[in-house]
Amino acid sequence: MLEVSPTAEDRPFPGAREGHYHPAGMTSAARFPLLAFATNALAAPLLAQIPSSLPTQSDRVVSYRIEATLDPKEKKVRGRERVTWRNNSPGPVGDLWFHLYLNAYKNDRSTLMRERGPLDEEEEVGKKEWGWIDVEAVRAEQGEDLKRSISFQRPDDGNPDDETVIRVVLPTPVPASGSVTVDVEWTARFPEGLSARNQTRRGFFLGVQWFPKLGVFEETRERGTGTGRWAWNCHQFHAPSEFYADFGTYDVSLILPQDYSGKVGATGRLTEGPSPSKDGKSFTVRFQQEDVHDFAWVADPRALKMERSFDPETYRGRDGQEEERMARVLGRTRAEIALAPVHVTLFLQPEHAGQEERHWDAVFAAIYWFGLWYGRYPYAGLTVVDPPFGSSVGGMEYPMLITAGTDWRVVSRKHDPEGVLVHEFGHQFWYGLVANNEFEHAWLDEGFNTYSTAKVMDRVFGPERATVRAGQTPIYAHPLLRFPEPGDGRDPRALLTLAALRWKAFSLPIRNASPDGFVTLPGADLTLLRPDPVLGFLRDLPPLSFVPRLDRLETVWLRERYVRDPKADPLDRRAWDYVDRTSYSINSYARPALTLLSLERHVNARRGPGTWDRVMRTYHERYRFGHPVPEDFFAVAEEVSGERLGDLFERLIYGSDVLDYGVRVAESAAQRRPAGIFGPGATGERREAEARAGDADRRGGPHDTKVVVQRYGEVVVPVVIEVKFEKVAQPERFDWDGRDRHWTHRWEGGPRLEWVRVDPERVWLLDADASNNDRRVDPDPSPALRWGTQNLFWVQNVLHFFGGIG
Amino acid sequence: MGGALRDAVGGLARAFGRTRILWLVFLLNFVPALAVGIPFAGALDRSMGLRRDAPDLVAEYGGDFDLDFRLRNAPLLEGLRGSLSVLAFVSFLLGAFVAGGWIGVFHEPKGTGSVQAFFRWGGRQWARFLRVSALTLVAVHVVGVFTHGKGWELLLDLASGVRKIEDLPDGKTAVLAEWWRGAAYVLLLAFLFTAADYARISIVEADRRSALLAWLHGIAFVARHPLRTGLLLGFYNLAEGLLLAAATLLLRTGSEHVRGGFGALGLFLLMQATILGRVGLRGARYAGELAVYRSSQAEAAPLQAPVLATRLAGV
Repeated sequence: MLEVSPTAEDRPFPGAREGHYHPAGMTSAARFPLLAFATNALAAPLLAQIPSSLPTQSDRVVSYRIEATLDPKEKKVRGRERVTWRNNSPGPVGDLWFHLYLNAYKNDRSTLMRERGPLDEEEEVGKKEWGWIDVEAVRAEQGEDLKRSISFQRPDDGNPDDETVIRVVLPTPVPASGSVTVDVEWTARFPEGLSARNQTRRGFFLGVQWFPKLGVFEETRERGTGTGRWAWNCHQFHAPSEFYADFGTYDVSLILPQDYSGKVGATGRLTEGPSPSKDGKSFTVRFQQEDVHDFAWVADPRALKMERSFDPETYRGRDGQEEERMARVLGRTRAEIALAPVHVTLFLQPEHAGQEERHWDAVFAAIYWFGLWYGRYPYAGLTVVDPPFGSSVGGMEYPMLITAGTDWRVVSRKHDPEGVLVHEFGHQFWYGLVANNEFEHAWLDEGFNTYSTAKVMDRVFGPERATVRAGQTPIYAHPLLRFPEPGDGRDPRALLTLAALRWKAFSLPIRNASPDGFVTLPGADLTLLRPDPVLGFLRDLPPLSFVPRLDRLETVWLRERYVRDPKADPLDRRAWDYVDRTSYSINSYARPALTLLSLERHVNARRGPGTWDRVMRTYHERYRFGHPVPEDFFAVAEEVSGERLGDLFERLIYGSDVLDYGVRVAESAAQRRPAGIFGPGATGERREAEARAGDADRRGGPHDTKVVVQRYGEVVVPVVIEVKFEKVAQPERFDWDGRDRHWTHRWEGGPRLEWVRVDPERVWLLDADASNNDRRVDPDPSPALRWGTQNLFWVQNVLHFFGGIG
Repeated sequence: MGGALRDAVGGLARAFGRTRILWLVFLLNFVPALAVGIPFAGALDRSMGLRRDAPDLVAEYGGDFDLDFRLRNAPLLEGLRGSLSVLAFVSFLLGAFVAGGWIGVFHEPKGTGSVQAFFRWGGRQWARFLRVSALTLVAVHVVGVFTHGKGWELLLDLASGVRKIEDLPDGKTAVLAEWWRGAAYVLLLAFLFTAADYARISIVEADRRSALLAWLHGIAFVARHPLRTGLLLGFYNLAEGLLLAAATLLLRTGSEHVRGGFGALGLFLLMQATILGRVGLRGARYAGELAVYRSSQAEAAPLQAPVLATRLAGV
């Protein structure tokens, strides 16, 4: 068994708390019952059974009744909403804070626009139309006008140009457990030509973050521990994050022109309509839904609308063995973990009609596997949107509505659109149902979902084949050694293309210098060989030169993203505080997913298969319809697994240290007979004459072996070391707690060493360098010869290609 | 059609008959490639040679391995990328020399082609051929402006009323537009590079000193004989495509079973044979194009006395 220090890990996570479905105002001890339980559980045997505790409804803090009219020509929505909010805090509340997300697209000085950087080239070239939302009236229930009390709030950065959060002062504070209702009227305009989620494109409207939406009034916490202070958690709209809201009920009526009849989808159930207007020019649809924390809709007159139902009984991808295993792991019957039917509506672009089955397969697989592992999808419907070409919508998640996207040309072994569909559906569980604060802990939804997505993708769709793109078309290829892009100053080939020639060198009287120092002529772009896909393809992969196929599991893609820059930031921080978007992406997606995958393997290896499934299931069930923080998950993980994980979480989540173990020394030499003077005094027995050089060549004889496994990184984890000797059937296994800087072991007079391997089961996928995890004593040059030869061939073809230009 | 095929086959016979030149040009490709190939193989050996699962790595260049290899050898690979770029430029320069050598050898009366003649012609025409290449690249640039720059935007605007491909109504139209643009681009490049070949041939045949005039002559020639020149080019491209496809198939299927040093040697020889084939096909293209050029000139006017023989007599 491994040695684990009993000191540091005995500390459970102090901030563990229950979800919002529990009554507020409990005492600290009562509100953190997990603490005592977690501490006891560390010493107690594992739970044999998780009680079936899938919550069936949220605490419904808010309710929205919205009526909105779309004007496609003006690209505007005019709406009014009646919002009722219940005060769950222990004291009175005198104001309401609303998000006005669309104001992020009002100008290029908003916080979102500043964070995402200057307009890109396409945005500069194309027609731009800014988006905004204007609150025209706010009235209290008794009709009192509250508009004059509105003030813009900038809690995150103080940016005076940001108008994405407002505060409305109430005439009378809302008492604890009391409610307030306000009526809001507004007009919103959708942006076009900007990289925005909530945008319009040739008649397509994606109604997301489109209405004044309340923030969350909650107790502020530090490292999960309640501070006793209650405040509105209502962040500005940031480039990388946007979600945090209370669960509630939505009752939304949309009035749209007749052109959109039958082409509208939304969060919730369609309860009325489409009801045509008297003049026949428009129609009304009404959607209602409980226990969601947002409402989104889509209207696309051009899309094909398809409908199909997911039936868990007849689903062709059903896996009886896995169902049996999950039931056994959870200590429940299969009936108790049975899934429910889901009616799925798919809005598909006409040119993607041939990919319909791929969409159904991916969505149904996601419904099945997420439901089986974490608990059934609780809603009756789901809307899947394939946005039109040229929109920047991409893959996004909203309650009961997801967007994905695909290309006209796709290849079978590239998991597009499957990957994004599974991922966005997965957000129904991690964001939709377990609704953590995405502004402050994006990894809790993105990371958990990336982890879950990887498991579904690897299980259902298998390895993905590497591709490059040419002419907006994926082609199976993987260059061993890409060229530098021309014009970067290091690439002499750029001389061939004029891309690197600075025209100032020729003293041309041109003044129109672009910011990066290159000069552009009006009407002519002189940097020809900027990455044109066709030319790039020809350049990096001369026609038909050998390209090795490269298939990768999702976990490998995750590693690739993580290990390129593992130390830029701690994993957990506010989404806009990461050093850059890459770091946000790594720490919100790849790194937490790899952390969870690693913990899964670690915990299962020590506590038995299925333990981690119980952890994830319990966490999901306990916080379904809740707002967990990281410490809630840590507590569940310790409680359910019985493992002390505190120190590990501290390093992996709140630190930026790297995990890397590797074999440093693996040597085995034929044992030499002792030489020198042995025994007391200088007259002791002399043996040096018996040592002979030939001893070292006796491969079959006794050998002295030395193995050193090094901890190169700062993260300390227990690891397994395998040592394989020649003519010994099974490798020896050693457990090392990984704390010291190295593990050194010597064998004298044993068989010859064959190889050494650290972490043979690849438990720690976070290991930053897997290539040093094993080492053999006798080198085998054949793989290098084979791949070196192929690389040489590739280089020869490249040179042949350029020789032909000369 | 028959004439083009005859020229093409004749070109093959002439190029592959010059075995010493073939080997020489092959070496001009092989030796520079070693500057990248050897360090790359060394890095692979350091990463693979002591791997416990080395035999498995022979069969599959795996995802995890690829990632760790690239990360662990990032500075080296960055250096090799730069080296490859430099070598590409050197190959470009050598290409002009090789073209001069091949065309000169084929220009000479049958049977007189030798390695010395190859060097002599390569050196003699190198500067002129480089000027032709430079002109061709300027033309490639201009073509690029029309296919990927402002010209494209204007064309798109005329055709569809939008200036960005992202503003086209749907993805299918956009991809088709990309393909048409790509096809037009590749065809125009083929036209320009073929014209450059005939410009070089005209330099050798007529001992032209002006690269610009020769280049214009080459453009005019290909424009006058699009079918014959196009068919010849198509034949050689097809032959090269088939060669590469066959080689790729053999390499992929065969290499998975490679384990020892002999297997690797077999792979190496197969790959080098493929490169030798490509080198020969390029030489054959010059020979075929020379034949097309001469026969076209003969059709246009009685054959003039070979300029070269008289001029070279004094060399």
